[in-house]
Amino acid sequence: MASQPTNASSRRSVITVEHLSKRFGAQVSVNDVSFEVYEGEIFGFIGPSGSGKTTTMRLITGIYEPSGGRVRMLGQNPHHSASRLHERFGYMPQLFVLYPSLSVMENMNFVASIYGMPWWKRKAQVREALDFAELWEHRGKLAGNISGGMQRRLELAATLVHRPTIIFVDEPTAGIDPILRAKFWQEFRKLRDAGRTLFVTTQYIGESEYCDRVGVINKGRLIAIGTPVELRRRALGGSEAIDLTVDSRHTCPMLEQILKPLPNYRGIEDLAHGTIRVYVADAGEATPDIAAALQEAGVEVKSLSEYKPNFDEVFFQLMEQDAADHPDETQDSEGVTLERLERRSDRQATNQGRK
Amino acid sequence: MPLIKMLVRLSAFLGKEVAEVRRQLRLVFTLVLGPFLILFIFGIGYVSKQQSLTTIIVGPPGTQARSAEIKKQFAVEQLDVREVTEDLGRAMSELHDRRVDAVAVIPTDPYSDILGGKQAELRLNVNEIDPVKINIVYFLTYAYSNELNKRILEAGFKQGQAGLTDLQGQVGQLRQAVNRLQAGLQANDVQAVTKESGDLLTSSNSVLVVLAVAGGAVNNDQLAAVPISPAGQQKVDSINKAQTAIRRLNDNVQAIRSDALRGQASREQQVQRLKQVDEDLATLEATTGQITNIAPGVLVSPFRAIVKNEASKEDNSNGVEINFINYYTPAVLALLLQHIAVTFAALSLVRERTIGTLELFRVAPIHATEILVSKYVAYILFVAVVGAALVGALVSPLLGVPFKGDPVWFSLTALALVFASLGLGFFISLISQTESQAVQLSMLVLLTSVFFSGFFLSLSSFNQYVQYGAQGLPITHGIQGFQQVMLRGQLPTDYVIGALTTMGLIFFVINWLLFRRELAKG
Repeated sequence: MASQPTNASSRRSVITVEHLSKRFGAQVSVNDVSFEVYEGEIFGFIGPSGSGKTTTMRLITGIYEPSGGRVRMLGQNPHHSASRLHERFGYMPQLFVLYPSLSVMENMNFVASIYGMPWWKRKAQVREALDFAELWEHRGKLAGNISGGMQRRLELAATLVHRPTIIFVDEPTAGIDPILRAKFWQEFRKLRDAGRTLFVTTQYIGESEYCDRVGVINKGRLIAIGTPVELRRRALGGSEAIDLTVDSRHTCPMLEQILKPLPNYRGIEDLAHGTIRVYVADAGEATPDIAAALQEAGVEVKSLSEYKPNFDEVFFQLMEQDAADHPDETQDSEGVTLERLERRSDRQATNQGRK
Repeated sequence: MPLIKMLVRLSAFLGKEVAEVRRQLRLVFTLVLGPFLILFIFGIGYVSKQQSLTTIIVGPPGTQARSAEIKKQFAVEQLDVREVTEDLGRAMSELHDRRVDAVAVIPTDPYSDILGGKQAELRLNVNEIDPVKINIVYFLTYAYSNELNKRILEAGFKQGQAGLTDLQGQVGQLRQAVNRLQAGLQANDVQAVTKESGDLLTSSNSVLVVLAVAGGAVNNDQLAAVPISPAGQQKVDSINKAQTAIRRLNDNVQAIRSDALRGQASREQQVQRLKQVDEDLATLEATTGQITNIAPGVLVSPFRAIVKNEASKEDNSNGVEINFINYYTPAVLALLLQHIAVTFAALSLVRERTIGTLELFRVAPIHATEILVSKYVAYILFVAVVGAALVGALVSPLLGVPFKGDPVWFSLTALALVFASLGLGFFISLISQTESQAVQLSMLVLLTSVFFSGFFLSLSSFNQYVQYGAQGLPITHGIQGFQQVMLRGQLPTDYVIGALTTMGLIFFVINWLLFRRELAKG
């Protein structure tokens, strides 16, 4: 799974985004977004469809000019940069944008040419990129005749052919099967391990786990940024959680009375049918204390384990918090529906005294 | 190193476009062979024969009985007479049903019209909606009436000439009559003088008419400005002399006759007049030989226009064979080169947009200028190969189209034409949203080119504004340049290559601005 959290202060920032905004007419697509991406990390940019992921990526790569704020990639403004900067990053668009009437090899040669790679120098790099994408055997096939998954891999190979140090990948796993999706992430990790920096957008929330750091964007606003562990903690209101199952005779208020004196205790939530979630400052420290306190109170504990919410949960929780912070805005993107948020809000009501 | 990188980027589209075209051979064949075959079939299928009208001749009662004679008299090359009838209603019904092209109605009483001092009307009824055909009908009608008038005059002169030939014999008889007149005068026989002078006048009047016509043919204002040679002057003088002689002869014989009838003239005076008549007859005898040698057709149509075409092989050993295939081939070639260049360029950038590769270009270290130049180079090379193959096929012994000029100048003209056409094509591509829109606009350019470039209709057929507009089409200059080099063996005028290059440069700048803006806006 994900590597160890990046120590941000020790890494060099290769992308700096400060108060970045982009308007298309009256519509604000990116709103006052600031973050940094460090050298050698996989930075995931996650958000529902239409949240501003691709627009942000296009602003960083210089395709769009910002309406406000500023972007620096390797210290330069990508929108007004010399060719040298463009040679140092690669961009894989969301859709297949190569020529279907050209073969895999011809497409690779074309992309290598527009990056100014002479034919006598590009051979090895084309081979390397095609090998990496496992397409060397298919180099003679027309790009229009290969499968959708292979087309995505061809795009990745074309993005890598000039050996960029920063790689932008826009929703690489959208619409492809889970096996290929896992393979893509495996390849991204290989690239990261080789010292490349990856900026990956995705709407698959679970893929956050594969990233070193994640930025969560919603309606053009960056609502959270951090390592997956940090985000999970943040989704739980800065706490950790322990789920325990007890006899249904023991009600939530009864258990709260037992556990409240414990030093790590933060709150309790009745999940239903004797399943209780206890919020604590540190799950590792609190677990033996809880077990002991319940045993001492004569409560039979059927199960007890640390609760690690999956990223769907984390994401929805973050969205929920964002919706609470901005009650005047209506969530209407397809990634998070109003109905789902309302359901989550109902559950939140039962979460007593978490903070 | 940056230079090498730039050259590599410039070459990027060369390989890519060649590979794409290689996989779209059907499109190439359609683009090249389609219009080529259509025009080739037109070239070999078009028969340039003189138009004629299938006609029914309708005449007054009695015509039917003399139909063969009338058919012979009224049928000319321009009228293919199907039948002669008196039934105007049926003939008009045939015309209405478009089974014949025309109904010619002979005037009911042409003699009365002519002798009454007005032209007899020969009405030609047609039933036509095609303005081109109507113009042909007007021309044919004009030619028809000229031909009929010429025939009538010619027949008249033939008959007149016969009288003139007899006159030489009559002159001899006249001399005898003059002798008899002299004898009559000496005998103071008034009756004999009156009779002989009367006969003499009748004959001399007809000679007078013929001489007047012959004299009129050469002595008129129309020819006054034309310089005359000594030999020609001698002949004109003979005619004039004969005319003077016949008029004086007439006057003197008339005077002798009048004086004899009134009995007033002195004998010496009559003898003196008779002596003058004798001299005039001698003059007449000397000149009528020359007059009778003039053919009636020459008297009716003294001038015949002869065309000598410097560009034609028939009149000039350096010329070419004049036919439709040879004439239209340079124009077809120009049209094909323009059409291929415009269509490929028009589809080129719009395809990049629809495929999405523009997004790739936006993040790559390639500039709008490099992309455009690269595409120009790729398509110029491609169209050059197609053009060379076409020219090779056309000038091969199989088709045998002449190529008289310098291939280098032809290539330069073709290069300028393709450069301007690509500019037009890229402009279409940049203003089109979809491929079908680009194809439609390319077809509009093709249609405009066929109508307004001088391809089928000469540019001089249009008003000056359309002529100015036509200068904005690359093909207008391409046709002129190609015809100049291929058929006349001359260099294309500076204007041709200059205009095409200027047009190409203007398009390049506009396209560069538009494309740069499109790439920048993302």
